[in-house]
Amino acid sequence: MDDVARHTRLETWFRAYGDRVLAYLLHRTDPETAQDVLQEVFVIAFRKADTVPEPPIGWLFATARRVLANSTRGTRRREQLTVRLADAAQDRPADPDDDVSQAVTDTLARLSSADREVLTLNAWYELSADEAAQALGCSRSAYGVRLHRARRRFAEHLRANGDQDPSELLPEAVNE
Amino acid sequence: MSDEIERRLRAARPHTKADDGWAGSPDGDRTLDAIRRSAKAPRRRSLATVTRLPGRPALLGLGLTAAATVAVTLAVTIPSGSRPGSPVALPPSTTTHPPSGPGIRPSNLALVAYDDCDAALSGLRKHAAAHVSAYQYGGIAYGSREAVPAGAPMDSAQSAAAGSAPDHSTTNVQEAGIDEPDLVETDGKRVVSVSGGVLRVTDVASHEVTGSLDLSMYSGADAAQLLMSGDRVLVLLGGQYSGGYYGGGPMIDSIAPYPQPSTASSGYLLVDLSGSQPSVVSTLHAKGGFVDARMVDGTVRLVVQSAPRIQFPVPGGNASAKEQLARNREAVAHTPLSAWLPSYDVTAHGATTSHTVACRQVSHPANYTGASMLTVYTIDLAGDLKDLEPVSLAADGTTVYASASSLYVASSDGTKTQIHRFDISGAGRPTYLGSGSVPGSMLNSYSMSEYDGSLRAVTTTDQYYAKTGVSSPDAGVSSPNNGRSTSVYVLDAAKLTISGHVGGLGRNEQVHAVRFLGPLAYVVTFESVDPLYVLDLHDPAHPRQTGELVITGYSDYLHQTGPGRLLGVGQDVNSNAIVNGLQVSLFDVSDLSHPRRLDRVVREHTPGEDTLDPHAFLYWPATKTAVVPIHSWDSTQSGAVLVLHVGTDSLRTIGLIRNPAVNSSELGYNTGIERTMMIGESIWTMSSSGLAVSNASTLTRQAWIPFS
Repeated sequence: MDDVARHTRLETWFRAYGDRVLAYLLHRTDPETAQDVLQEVFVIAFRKADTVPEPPIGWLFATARRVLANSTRGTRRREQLTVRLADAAQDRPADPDDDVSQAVTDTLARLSSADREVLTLNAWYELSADEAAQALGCSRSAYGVRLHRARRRFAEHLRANGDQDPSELLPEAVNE
Repeated sequence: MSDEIERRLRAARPHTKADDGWAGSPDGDRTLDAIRRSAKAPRRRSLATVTRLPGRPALLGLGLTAAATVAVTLAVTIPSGSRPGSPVALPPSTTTHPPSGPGIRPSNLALVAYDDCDAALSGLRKHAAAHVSAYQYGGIAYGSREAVPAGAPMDSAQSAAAGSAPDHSTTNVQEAGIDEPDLVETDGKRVVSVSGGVLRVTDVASHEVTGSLDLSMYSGADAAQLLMSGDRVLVLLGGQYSGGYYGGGPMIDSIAPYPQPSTASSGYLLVDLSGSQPSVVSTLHAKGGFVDARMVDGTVRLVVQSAPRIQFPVPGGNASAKEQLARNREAVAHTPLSAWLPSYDVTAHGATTSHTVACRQVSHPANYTGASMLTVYTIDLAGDLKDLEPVSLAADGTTVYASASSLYVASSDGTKTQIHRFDISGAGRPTYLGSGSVPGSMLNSYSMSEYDGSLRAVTTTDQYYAKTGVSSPDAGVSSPNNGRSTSVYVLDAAKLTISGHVGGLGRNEQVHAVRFLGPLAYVVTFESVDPLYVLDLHDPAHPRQTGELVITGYSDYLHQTGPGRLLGVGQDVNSNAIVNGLQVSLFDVSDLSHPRRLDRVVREHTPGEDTLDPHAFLYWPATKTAVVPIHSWDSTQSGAVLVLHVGTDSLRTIGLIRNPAVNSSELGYNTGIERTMMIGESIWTMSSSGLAVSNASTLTRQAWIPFS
């Protein structure tokens, strides 16, 4: 692949997916690290443009996760989604849905990081099942199982957390 | 089916700046430009260490102005006649703990400590008020907590293990005898590891996990590290959030519009291994984030950085900047001393006691710009965390380096690096000895070294940053001519004044590796080729560059493998300036003026952007074996390590060791082999999935000890 083609792909990918990758990172680390990791992810995409699968979103997320894991290991800033959630929950202005959102963020914060990852990839960054599986480096069926289990645990925790009407949630999650 | 769960999850998603068409915004354009520049001219975008080369403190989000401006400069308490830039004499209140090492306390430097709490409060308030801005509603944030990877020549066993333990390595450390927190520790008889929030004790002889302790109820357990001495282990948890339950690391900014003052804290567990199962003896929960720690002879010096907790009013709709500033100053004027004084809780024997650092144990550099409080806790691993003998310094800190007798804490504001020195030669409370400053910013703890009464420091100045005060969007992405230049400074350790320096290294290049070996220094810079500089620092007043080797590719890490031999681990770069893969080089540096490369091994198509964490490297002098981690882009595959024999003039590949991949239902990705140790005749490799034991000569697997 020549340089022009690489640059074209880089720009296309960045404009189309940069938002979602950055949002993912901003939810997990400080803005500086997020910016650094984002740049690194797209630099890698540029260099590996001929081997990056289309559409690249799953690959971009997988790479972002990897780079983030490496970048944060040294700095011990790993897995900060919990705190961000806690912050967000604490600081969210009062509104009618406040209690509900609070319970959800509290619950997310209590889940394992693996469960959080599975739940948010889908709900927050709109990755399809195939893309999320690619991002997590697992098969689509394994992703399905993990999502199912994560949803069940989420519902259970939400109930334990005092959700006002868990009955609607639980059977749904379990029977899925 | 799970629509309701989906709906709720979506509703809880915190808004980010990326959500409003960011990729097409001017900010997105700038980022794309930076990516293009970076993609064309490869350089290590080492997130753990170098991307913030200009040293911009990570003062984030809304708290940014606050952090940058609430420099609680305490000049007000400095008596007249003091010289700016050097610590000055103040009342004898802190001289109650004289340094135990003879001649360590410089006679012309005394300490700047507070007489009493009233003096501390008025000084702290006055300077916060003087530096507060009108837009201060974020609470006072603090500088980057980037801890620094450490590691280095570990010669041989130095643990407390009794005679029957086989000869063994520790994981790599920078200075022999100065232990650094790591994911795994061994005394030759057992391997103590922390992975996935579980501490495990593995018996070396039987390859059995004989004890484990689930730490997952503690926040930060995912990122925990260990220090071990005898039957005791200190678990350094990642950061914690004290907002009602434990969270991950402390966050400075927030997604929400009006974050409240940071309640960052960090947790530490003292674990006893003498029983049948590891048990927590006592816990320390400190306000502030963990910076780093060092252990000498079973005594840990723990550095924690806390931010003053000042509650600024939410800006009113119509308030002018002037009014807002007045309100913020008012807020500072009513902030109690407790907002500044570092505090901590200790739980032992079922009872929790709360402590605050005494005013008289709080010092400040004579001339400083820090917004934070650094606290050094002293932990005797044989004890129970009863007396932590904290001392605090009103300063920022990001990089910690220790010799056997001194602890240095450094922080950079992008144009200069402040270095604070503590005497740790006694077993008890450290003594703050003074502070100094050098131009530029540092790569990591390897950028500092104490030798023969001198502190040597390698820093890089960046004119672009100096001019604009911003490195964004070019953080870590240099323009072709960015005015970057690297220097080696030799400071008189007693006074922290500059004795001499060598400048002009690596113009427009970035520092990738620094290694001090005795009176010599080696510095690797890189932009498109790799100069390896050799410096002779024998004469502190006249350090000089003696040699330079220019080759393609670069080294991230340098390790002495024998007299006049240096092993460089880094990346090979092809003629199109594209990273080609892992490269290990053997250099002959016996002739100071003519360093040369004797041999190299390249692994093509391995991830080129990773920074080598020196802890992940191993050199075992007895068999001249070097072990280098290799990552894989395929997240379903576990990474591997490359095992090399380092001859006098050549490198020989022995082979690869690969740990079984993680069951993806647990972690979802594989982190590769994180650490390697040599125990007896075996190489122990640790990944997040478990420990593998391999024959050191044949690399045949002898045991697999899964972590599940």
